Amino acid sequence: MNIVQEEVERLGKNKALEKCIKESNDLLSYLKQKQEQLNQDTDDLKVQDVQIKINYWANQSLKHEKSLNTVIKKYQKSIDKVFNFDLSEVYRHRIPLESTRCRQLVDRALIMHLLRIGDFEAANTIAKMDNIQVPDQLLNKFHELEEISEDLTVHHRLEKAIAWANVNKHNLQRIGSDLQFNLHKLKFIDIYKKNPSSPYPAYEYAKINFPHFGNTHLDVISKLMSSTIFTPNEPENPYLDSIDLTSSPYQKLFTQLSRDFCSFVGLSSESPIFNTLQASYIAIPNFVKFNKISKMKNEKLDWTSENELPFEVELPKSLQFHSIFICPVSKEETTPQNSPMALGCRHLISKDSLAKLKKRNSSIKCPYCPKTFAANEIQEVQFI
Amino acid sequence: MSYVSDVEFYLKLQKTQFKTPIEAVKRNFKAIQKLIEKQSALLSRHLIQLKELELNGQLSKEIQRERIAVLINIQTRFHDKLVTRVEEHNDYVQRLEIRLQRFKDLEKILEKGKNSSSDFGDDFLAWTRDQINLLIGCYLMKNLINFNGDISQNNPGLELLKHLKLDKLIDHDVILKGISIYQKIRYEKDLSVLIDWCNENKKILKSMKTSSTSVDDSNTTQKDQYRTSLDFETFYQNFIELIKEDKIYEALIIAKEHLMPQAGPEVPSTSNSATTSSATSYSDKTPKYDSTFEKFKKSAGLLVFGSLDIDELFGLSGSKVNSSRKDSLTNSAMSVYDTFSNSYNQINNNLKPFKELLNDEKWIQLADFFIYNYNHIYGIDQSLELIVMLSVGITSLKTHSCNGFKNYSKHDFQDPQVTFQDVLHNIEESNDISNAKSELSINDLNKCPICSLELYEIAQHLPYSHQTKSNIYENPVKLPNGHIYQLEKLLKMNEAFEKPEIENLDEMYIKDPLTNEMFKRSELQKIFPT
Repeated sequence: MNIVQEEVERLGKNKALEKCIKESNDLLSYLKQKQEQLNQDTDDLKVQDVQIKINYWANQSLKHEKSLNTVIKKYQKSIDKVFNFDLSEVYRHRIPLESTRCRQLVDRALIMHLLRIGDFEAANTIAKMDNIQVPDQLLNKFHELEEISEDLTVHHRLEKAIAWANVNKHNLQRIGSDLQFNLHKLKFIDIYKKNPSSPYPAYEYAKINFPHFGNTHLDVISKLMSSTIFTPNEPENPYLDSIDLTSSPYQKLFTQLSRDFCSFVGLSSESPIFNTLQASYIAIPNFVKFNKISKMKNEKLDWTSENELPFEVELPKSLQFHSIFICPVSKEETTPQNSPMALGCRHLISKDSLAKLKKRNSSIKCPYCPKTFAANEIQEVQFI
Repeated sequence: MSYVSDVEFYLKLQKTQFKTPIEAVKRNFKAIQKLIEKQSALLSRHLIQLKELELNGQLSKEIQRERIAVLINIQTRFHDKLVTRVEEHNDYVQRLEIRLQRFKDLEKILEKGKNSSSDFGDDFLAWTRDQINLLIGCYLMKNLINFNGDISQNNPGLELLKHLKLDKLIDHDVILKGISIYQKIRYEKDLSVLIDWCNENKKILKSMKTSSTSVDDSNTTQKDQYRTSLDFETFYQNFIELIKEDKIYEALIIAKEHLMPQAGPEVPSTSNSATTSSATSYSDKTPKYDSTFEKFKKSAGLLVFGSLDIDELFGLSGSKVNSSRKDSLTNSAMSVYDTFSNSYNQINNNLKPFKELLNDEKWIQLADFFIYNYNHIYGIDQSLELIVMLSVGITSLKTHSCNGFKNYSKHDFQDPQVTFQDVLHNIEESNDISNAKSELSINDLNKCPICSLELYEIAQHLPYSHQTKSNIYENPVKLPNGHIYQLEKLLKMNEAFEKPEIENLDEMYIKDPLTNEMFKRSELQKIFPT
C-alpha cells in the first residue's frame, strides 16, 4: 500500500497543470494589458516583446508538461508491480452466465439483495431490463423498509424506524435484538448534540425512553448520562467515543433494522449474496495461492475429484452454516445419501462404512469400542 | 478477526480502481500536450505574420489593435479548453485520493480489530458491505453490454452506487463510454464511432498487437484472435460492409489505405509472431505469414461476386417455376449427374466462408474484440468480478449437507421461467408456520446462503468445498426420531414453547421443534461423534 500511497500522493502534489493555467493566464493578461495601452494610445505594439512573452509561455508550458509526464510514467511503472495477479485467472469454475436462466437467477438474487438494502429504484430497473416481474405482494412487503431506509440513511431521521421498532417490540425481544435501544440511543445523542447550550432536552428524552432498558443496557446509559455534564464537543468528556457520530451510525442502524425486518418477513436475516461474498473475501487468498503453485509447477494441479475443491478453506464460525460430520472410518464427509448412522454405543459412522463392516460379519462391531450390535440397534441420524 | 486478510490483499483485488484513472489521466495529458503544441504553432504563425507586417511598415495602429484582438481571442479559447482539461485531470486525481483514503480507513479498522475476539468487527462489516455493493454496481454496469437500449436511462448499477455514495470508487464514465461504443457496433452495426476510436488510439493498438502475441493463453482460438489488431479488424469489417453495399471502389480504397499496410508479409510483426514460444498449435513448417494477410486474401474473393445471393447468380430467385427447379436441384437423387446442379452446389460450398464473413455474428465478434481492447487499455478487469467472487464464495460454502431447496419446494413444480413466485411462496409459507404457532421455521434452522432460494440453483453448477474436519457443536443429543440437536439449544427452544396439556405429567417432556413430536426427557441420548 505504501507504494500506491506514494504514487497517488506524488500525483496529487504535482501542480504542473495549475502552473500551465497560470502561464496561459499571464500571457492573456499581458495581451489584454497591451490592448488597453493600444486603445488608450499610450504604447505601441512591438512584435519583439510579444514574441518574447509567447516564447516564454511556450517554454514554461513544456517544462511543466515534462514534470507531470515523469510522474505519470513512474506511477504506471510502480502500479504494475503492485497489482501482480489477475482475478479472472484465479478460479476456473464460473457461474455459467451463458445460460439465460443462470443470468436471470443471478439478477433475481441481486434484486432480493437490493430490496433488503432498501434500493427499490435499482431493483426495479434490473427487473424491467430483464423482463422479470417483481410481484406487488413482494414489493409491498418491502415498501415499509424502503421508506425507513430513505428516512434513516438519507435524511438521518429516526421517527419511522422508532415507530417500526415499537410495533415489532415483542418480535425484537424474542430474537434478542437491541435495535430499539440503539435507535433511542442515537436519537438521544442527536438531541444532545443539537442543543449544545442545554442538556435538558436530551435529559427529558432519556427519562422517558431509557428506563425500559435499565436491566439490559445500564452501562451504556450511564455513560450517555454522564456525558451530559459536558457540552457535546468538550474533549474532557471521558465517554466521547460513545457519543461519536462520525462512523456512519445511521447506515449501521439501518443494516441492523433490515436484518431484523427480513427475518420477520420470513427471509434469512442476512442477504445470501452478502454472506457468500464475505466468505469469498476470506477464501480468495487460498485460491490465489493454489493458482500460483499450480503455475509454478507449470501443470494444472490435480483436482482429485472434479466436483470438489482440492484444498481446504477455513471459515469463521459465523460463516459455517452446517454441521459437518467426517466419518472417522472412511474420512469422508457424510451426505444425505451416505448419512451418519448411530450405533447402540452412540458412536457415529457413515452408512457406507457401515455397509463395509456388515459384509465381513453378521453382527457389527463398533470400530471404537468393544461392543457389537445387531442391525436393529443401528439408527440413521441427522444433525439439526 | 484472524480470518481477515491484510490490507495489502484487499488493495491488490482493486487493480482497476488504481489503474483506470491513471490511463485516463495519461490520455487527458496527451490531449493537453497536443493542445499546447497546436497553440504554440498557431501563435508562431501569427507572430511571423506580425513580423512581416512590421518589416513592411504596414503595422498601423488600426492593424495593431485588430491583431491584438485576434491574439486575445485565440488565447482565450485555448485557455478555456485548457481549464476544462485540467478540471478533468483533477477529477481523476481526486478519485485516486478518495480510493486511497478508503484503504487507509481499512488499515485503521483492521489495526483496531486486531485483538478482537469476534469474527468481524462492526466497522469492518460496514466496509465489506460497501465493497460488496461496489462489486454489484460494477457488475450491473458491465452487464449493460447485453442490453440493447439507452443506457443513460437504464443504469441500475450507477443508480445503486450513487444512492450509496460509492460512485467515486468506480470510473463509470470510462466504463460507460466503452459500452456505448460496444452497443453501436453490436446493435446498430455502426462502424463510424469505432473507426474514430481506432484512429485516436492507433499507437496503443499497434503496440498491443505485438505485445499480445506473447500473452500466454491456453485457448488457441483466443490467441488467434489476439494476433490481429483491432485496427485491422475494424477496417476489415468496413471493407466487407462496403462490398455488401456494392461500393467496390470505396472498398478498394479502404483496403489499400488501411488493410494492406498491416497485412503484407513484410510487416515486421510477422517475425514477432514467428518467435512466439508456444507456436506448437500452429503448423510449424509454413513461414509465419501474418494471419491478417491470409484473412485479407480470403475476403478479396468477395470482390468477384457483387452479391452472395447464389440463387440470383443462377437466375433462380423470384418466380415460382424457378423455386420448384431449385427444389429438384437440391433434393433429387439425380442431381449428382446434373452438371448444372453440380456447379450450383459446388459454388454454394465455395461461398460458405464468404457467407460467414457477411454473417451478423461477425458484428458480435468485432464488438467483443473491441471491448477486450478497450478494457485492456484502461486496465478494466476483463471478467465480471462479481461472478468470479460469487463462484469462489459459493464453492467455499457449499457442503454436502446443502440441500435446502428440497425443503422449500414442497410443491413439486419448477417454473421454467425465472420468477419471484417461489420466493413469495417461501415467505408466505414461513409466515403460515409462525401463525400456526409452530416454533421453528426452516429459516430459523437453516441460514446457509447456499441453501437459500436465491442461490441454491446457481450453486448446483459449482464444485463443493473440501472438508477434512468434523465440525459439530458441543453436547450433541439424539432424539428417538434420529434428529440430533445441541442440548442447550434444544432446551432453550423448549423453554419458549407452550406445553399445556402435559404439564400435569410427572416427567419432563421434550418437543422436537421441527416435527412437533414429544419425547420423554429420559429418551434423550448423548452422542459421541468421534
